[in-house]
Amino acid sequence: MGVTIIEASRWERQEGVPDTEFQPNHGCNLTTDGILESLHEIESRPEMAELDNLLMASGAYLRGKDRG
Amino acid sequence: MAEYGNIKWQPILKDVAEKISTTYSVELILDEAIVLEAEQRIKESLDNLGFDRPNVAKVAGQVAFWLRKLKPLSIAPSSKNYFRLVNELAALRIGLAICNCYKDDCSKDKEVQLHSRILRDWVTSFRYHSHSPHSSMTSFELLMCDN
Repeated sequence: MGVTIIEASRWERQEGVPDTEFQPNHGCNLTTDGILESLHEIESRPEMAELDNLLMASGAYLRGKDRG
Repeated sequence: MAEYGNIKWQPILKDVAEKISTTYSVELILDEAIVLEAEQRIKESLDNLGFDRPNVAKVAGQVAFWLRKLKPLSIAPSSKNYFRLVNELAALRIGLAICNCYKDDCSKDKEVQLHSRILRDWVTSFRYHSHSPHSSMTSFELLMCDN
């Protein structure tokens, strides 16, 4: 009889999303122009062209004659 | 104001849409009302995390989640070709661009590692499977880890 209280650990008491440790959580200076510039950089990478080719070869892409 | 509060997502989305339109030869419609809704949701979600300056992976995860959920882009009826994954691809591209901002200014030395086949699966999964804001954030956090 009686109640046993299992105390929450310090981690379990944290609220919200736990911080990751691999980088400081004081982030970068994200701006609209900065993201636009980064977008152009990402899109120039060969892996993104490969991705486009894969997607265009998939059933998710329908060329005019196949649209019905 | 939190750092991300000043970011305007419409020009970013418009830029991505133009690139997709050109690459895939599709005519796209960008719904401004949905973009405004997404901006509000993104800001609220990031505010609720409780960090003044959440890391880029957290921002990327929230942005990608809301864009693929609310779907501001659609294929114009006059488009000759059709691409089913336009919102999902736009969401992922913007998420990657946000993560890519981390180098130079911060401590990540290497470029974000990209694998086209994994990205293809990720884009497809965005459309057909369940994703939460937190699972999206975790995916980008894993992408950003240095091995």
